[in-house]
Amino acid sequence: MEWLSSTILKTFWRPTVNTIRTRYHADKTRLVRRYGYEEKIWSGGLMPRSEGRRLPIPEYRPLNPWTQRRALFGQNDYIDILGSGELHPIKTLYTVPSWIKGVSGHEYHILLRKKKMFARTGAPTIRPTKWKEYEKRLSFLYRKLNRKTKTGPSPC
Amino acid sequence: MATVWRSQCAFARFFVGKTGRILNNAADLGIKLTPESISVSTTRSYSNYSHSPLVKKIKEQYDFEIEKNPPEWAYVERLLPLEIIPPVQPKETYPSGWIPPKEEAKDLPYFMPRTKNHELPIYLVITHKGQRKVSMLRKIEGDIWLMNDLIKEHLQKNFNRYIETRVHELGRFIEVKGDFVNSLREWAYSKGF
Amino acid sequence: MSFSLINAIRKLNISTVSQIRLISSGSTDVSNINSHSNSDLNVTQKEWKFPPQFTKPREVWIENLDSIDEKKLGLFELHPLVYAVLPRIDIIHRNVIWQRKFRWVSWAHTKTRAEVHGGGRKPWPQKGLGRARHGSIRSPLWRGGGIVHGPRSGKTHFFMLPFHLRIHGLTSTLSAKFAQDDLHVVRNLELPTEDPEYLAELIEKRNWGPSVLIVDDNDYAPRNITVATENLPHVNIIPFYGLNVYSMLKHDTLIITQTAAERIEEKILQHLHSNTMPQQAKFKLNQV
Repeated sequence: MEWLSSTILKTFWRPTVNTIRTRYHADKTRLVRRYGYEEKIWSGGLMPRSEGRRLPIPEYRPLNPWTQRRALFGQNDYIDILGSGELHPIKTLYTVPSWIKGVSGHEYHILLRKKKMFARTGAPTIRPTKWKEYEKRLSFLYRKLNRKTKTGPSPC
Repeated sequence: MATVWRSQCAFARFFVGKTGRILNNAADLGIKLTPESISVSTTRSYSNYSHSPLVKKIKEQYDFEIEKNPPEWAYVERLLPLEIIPPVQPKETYPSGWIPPKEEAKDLPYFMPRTKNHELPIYLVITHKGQRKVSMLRKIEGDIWLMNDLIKEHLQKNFNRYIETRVHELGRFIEVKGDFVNSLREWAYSKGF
Repeated sequence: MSFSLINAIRKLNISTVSQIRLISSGSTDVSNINSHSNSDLNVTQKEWKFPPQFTKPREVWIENLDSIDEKKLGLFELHPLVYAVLPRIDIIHRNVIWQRKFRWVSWAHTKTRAEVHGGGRKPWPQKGLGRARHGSIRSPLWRGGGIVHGPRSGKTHFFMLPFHLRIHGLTSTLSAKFAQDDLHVVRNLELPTEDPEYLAELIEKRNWGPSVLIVDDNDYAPRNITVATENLPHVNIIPFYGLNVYSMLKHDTLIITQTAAERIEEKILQHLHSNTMPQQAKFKLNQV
């Protein structure tokens, strides 16, 4: 019975068979590298603000130019001219620490002066780590300045 | 010697140096060192102005009395440094060769006052290791351009050549290229400056 | 062009001076002119210690503060060496730069590889791991390591401007303010009330600009004006020895009392006519 039906089917319907070449490379998708990574740099053109959260604009807080410190800035800077002549303007710099008031120079000189003035106080015993750092930095700067750098041109 | 060591003299500790200040080595000195005695400073130095106390009473080093004696004070005044450079005392002749300024100079449209030392403000400026000499007339008041023309004319007549000058109107000075200080001084004296 | 300009200025000076001489010569004229406002107008002819030689002294009205409307109380002479020099903008600028710099200490600080905590041990062996060679985790190449050539604390910008340049800065600024009609001389600082609105209205009425610097001759200003300026941050009172170039430029108008103007003039003229070698000497820190 089964044989009969199959022979009838074969006599009435014959499928057309075409040989097709394989399309392996054409159908291949590109390899996605670093899957799941989102590019953070905008490469789409102008105006990167359309996507994502906007950057917060900091609130504009203008300085008050008339606080007491700013309004009276520079007072007594000419006290040696207009005053009695006994006071120098650097003596009126009350907010600047005394070891650096009126000092100018290289880091080495300022640190040397600082150490010299702090040596008489309790600083070496109260802040031993800081003190050690001063000494370490001074010895480093001494070696650098004296052995590894050229002195400037002679004044005459 | 031993008495010096035993006293609480600060110098002893000073001479001994660092070893003497270490607590355990202090027995060598025969005195007891406490942490208070180690701190060298006697008067405290304040790093911050606002931390320092107000001055209450200043102890004078010496006792003194103030007395006022005008006739004697005149002799003291003679020794004090002068407050201002004194004005010139008019004389018949000045043996140093100094020439006084004349009154009629003030009627000219330009003016050059004397310096505070009563000298003419005419200087020779030497720069570039002596390669560049410029005579400079400073402190000019009034019509500086007219004065410049007159100076040029005067120098042309004296040296028979064109002499370059430069006028700084805001700085109130004229620069003349070359060393013409003596000639310019003569001109200034002739005008009465 | 500048030739003609200077001539014009000079002529202007002479003409103004001659006018004022006219006024001051006849007392009847004075009373006629000012009878409607103030009868006791006084013209002070100064006895100068160092009289001006060529340039004429500048004359300025003495104004009042006890009424909102301006009243001219008199004429006052100012020395041309202090209030009428040619304003050198470059010198004013150098003065301002000096004022900002000589007190400026930069406290920015970074730690070097020696100061950052830790980092003594070699993080991994030199060879055999296939990794880069490193000797310390506080090397400047490392995150959290030391900083090379960073700012070190206590960087000063201190220098002293030469003494006479500072005097020149003061005279230049005073002259510029005076020439621009931003310097007013008042007789005293007495106000009728301690109401700050009165002072604000007075400043508004006289067109003195929002910010005003009031210069008195001593430390203690009258009570009314101190109370009135307490809540006006842009109206400030300083004694004459506190005067400086920066404040004069920061404030629009300079109000000087008559005595303060004299004291400033006296001090500056004193320096211009005395031996200033000690002040001109090089700055030595242990000698100030």
